[in-house]
Amino acid sequence: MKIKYPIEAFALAMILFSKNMKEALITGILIVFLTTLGWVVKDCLGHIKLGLLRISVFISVMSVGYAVFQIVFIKIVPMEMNTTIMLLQLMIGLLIVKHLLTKDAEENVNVMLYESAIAFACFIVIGMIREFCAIGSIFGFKIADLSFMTENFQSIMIGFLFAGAALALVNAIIKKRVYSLNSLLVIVPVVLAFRPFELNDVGDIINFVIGIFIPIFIIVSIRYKLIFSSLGNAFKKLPIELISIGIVYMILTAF
Amino acid sequence: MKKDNRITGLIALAVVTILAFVIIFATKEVTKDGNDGATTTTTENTTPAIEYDLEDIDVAGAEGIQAAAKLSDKAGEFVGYVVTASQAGYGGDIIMDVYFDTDATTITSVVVKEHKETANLGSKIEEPEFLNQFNGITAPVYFEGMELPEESETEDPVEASNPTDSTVLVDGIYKVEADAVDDKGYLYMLTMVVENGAITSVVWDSMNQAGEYKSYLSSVGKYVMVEGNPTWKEQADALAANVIENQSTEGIVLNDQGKSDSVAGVSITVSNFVDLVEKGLVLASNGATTETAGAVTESPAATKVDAVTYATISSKGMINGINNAYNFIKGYASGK
Repeated sequence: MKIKYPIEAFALAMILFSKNMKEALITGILIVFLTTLGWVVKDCLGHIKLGLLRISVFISVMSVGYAVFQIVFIKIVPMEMNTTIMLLQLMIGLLIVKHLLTKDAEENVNVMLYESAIAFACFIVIGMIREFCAIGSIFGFKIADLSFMTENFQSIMIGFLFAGAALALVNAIIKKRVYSLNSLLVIVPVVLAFRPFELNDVGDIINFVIGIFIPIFIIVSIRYKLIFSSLGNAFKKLPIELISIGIVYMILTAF
Repeated sequence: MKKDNRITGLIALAVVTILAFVIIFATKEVTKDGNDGATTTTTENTTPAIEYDLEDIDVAGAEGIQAAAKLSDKAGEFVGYVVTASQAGYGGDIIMDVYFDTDATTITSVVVKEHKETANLGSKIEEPEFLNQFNGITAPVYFEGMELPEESETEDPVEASNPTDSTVLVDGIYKVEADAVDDKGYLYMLTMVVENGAITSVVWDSMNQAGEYKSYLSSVGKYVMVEGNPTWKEQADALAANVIENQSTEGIVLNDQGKSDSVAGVSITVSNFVDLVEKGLVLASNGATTETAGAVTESPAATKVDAVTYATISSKGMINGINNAYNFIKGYASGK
């Protein structure tokens, strides 16, 4: 059976905003809120022309998404915010809109909310684990100070690994698998924002292009090989590709 | 019917669009104060109340240093230094004034002059709770999980250890040991003394598992290599003299076997001696005294401080700026 929750939006959010439990909790709430809002708008305007409906859903989800992320991340629960983060949050909104407007989108909001809740729970769990492994605290409360703890658990490459594992867990719980999603919609924005390496003594443009081209080229190559690998259904497509790009980031970051 | 449907759709789209604009505009207004991209000047942490006379120090070529000056009080007495450093934070450059005591090592205060960090998060770098922890501590500084501060611009200890015109050795006694005993059960160690920025003493020795030093054993005839040749201690002293004369290991050229023909009378393996001297020079350039070579997890010379919670990048920017200011003023104070 096909997945009914906005897996791509959750994937992007898990990569970027699971550095600690607070961030994961808030971002998860906002994703579920925006998904529900989009579903409500789509349901209310379901009788109008399809093109106009799509534009209406897009405008409403994106505008409200921008507003809530800005207000929450700046005013209510202040967190690190800059233009890059804002654009990535808009990308999350875009992925929610994409999910709502696909022909496979769930008409029954209960199924969508149930699967989103499972994803939300896994999101919080990985946020908790990463925060504990990085700084020994949970939700800002210091728990322990062990030798293996390192800030690198809050890096992007670990975000990829945990996001892939979390999504696989979600898919296993709801007993569904990913069929036809394009993981590049999730990976490319992250690569654009957080390149794995920088080249010294070359121009900024060349540095930027090479820093983006190499990881994307590698992951595109890996995707073709992964088609032939025998994996559990829960890992197929997006989860295993996220794990793969996480390992690629680990290797490239060493340079 | 179809036309009504289209009109309804257009009206719905128009309403949604207008609402979207209203929401975005309202968001801009609500978050305007918290997300102002303009630089902010600190209001809570001000410059020290005492007025100083400033004697400018040349900062040309010093990366990340905007200005520096020697401070004198109204009576003309030298009281310390101030360095204005700039370091990348999360939202932009953080500009700070770092005040040092006369020893160019003790930080008397840190003032954040400008920053673009996130409100209520990275901006906490300007709050007294964060800045007051620097008062009275010795530089360099670091916080948990951060790499220890290194003064040398290069990460290669060999390259950093060869003194160049720009390398300044910090006075002190530096002890280094090999990472492990050799295949004969001896652990090599070296003590280097730096006075007035120059190496004045190098003592190389090794100890076996019984606690006996090779220098002693060779002196009393219990460690003999080749009859008639200089003893191990005499050869070690010759190597030390060469390093003191050249103020580096440049005068000792190693061959493939780890030996050297550069120093008269020396036929012992000198590769571990050269290695320990170079590690000692790295420590001397960092001012990290009484430290063993090999894996170092904590430098006695570096002071641990607390970062701003959830604002690691902003905190790291501050720490790096302070350490950069320290490196500059220490180099100035050592070289004057």
